Amino acid sequence: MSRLVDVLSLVLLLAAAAAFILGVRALGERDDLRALYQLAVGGLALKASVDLLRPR
Amino acid sequence: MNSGATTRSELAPARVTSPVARVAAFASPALLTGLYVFSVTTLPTLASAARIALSQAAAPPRLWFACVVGATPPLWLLAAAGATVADRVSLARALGVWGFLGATALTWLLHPLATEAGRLEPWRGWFGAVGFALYALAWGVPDAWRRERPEDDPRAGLAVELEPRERLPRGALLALAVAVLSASALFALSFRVVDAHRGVLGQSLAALAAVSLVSVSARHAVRSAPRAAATPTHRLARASRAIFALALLLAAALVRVALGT
Repeated sequence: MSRLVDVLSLVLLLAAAAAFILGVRALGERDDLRALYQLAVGGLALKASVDLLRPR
Repeated sequence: MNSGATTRSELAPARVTSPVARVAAFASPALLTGLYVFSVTTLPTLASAARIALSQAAAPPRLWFACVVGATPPLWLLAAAGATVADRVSLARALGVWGFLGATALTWLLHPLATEAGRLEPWRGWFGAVGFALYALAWGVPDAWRRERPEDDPRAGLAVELEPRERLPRGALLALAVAVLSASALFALSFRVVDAHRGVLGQSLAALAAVSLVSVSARHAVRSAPRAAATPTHRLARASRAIFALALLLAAALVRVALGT
């Protein structure tokens, strides 16, 4: 189970990276709504990854 | 067995005392990255300002001022090297960080076209961003250049080689490499945003995202005791809010796609 949570945390990190890249790309295409959406998804995925990794 | 009280000077790390050795130690990280950043970012701006100023009969004074200020970053670096030789660490850092960055920023601000997002060449922006990150790292290692390695000191008396307390988990370097590559891609993409306002926003967001990604992936790489102490249920409970919000966003996107709006 612990290994599964580790993998989920890594997957969320990769998802965050992909979402940030897509968000900046959307900003370049002047699609502001999609850019904001992708950046919000990236931020939340990164937060979830950190929380899974090191809970307080 | 220790025969007496150990004095502070005995515990102090050995210093690099030769001025030549100090300059060599300083040159490797800070001076080289500084000159690299200057040649990639400020020098083209300086050349452009000089070209415009020389081609116009009545060039605005700010262009001439940009030429003068833009030529100073190498001097700040040399002054920092001089302060290093004199063992004035705080002064060296002030000259090398604040003097250098101040002169660089002022040159860009004085040039009328230098800060327009659409005019930045993506490859130069990327190389400049990487260069500034390396320059920050070069100054970020506190006093590392002043010391020799502790284990090289004959007074250290280490009987056995120091072993790492823990091994990196499998996949740690892969996660870090993916994050660094993603951060590089983010920077490269952000400099391709040609719209002026979106360009500044894109570069700021890219810098924020890149730093966050690299720092979180580094945490993944060195994850250890605090994580091991928590149960998987506790970890999932802790992340539940973020995962729930993420699921809401994904559901909203799916609904939007399904409705075709």
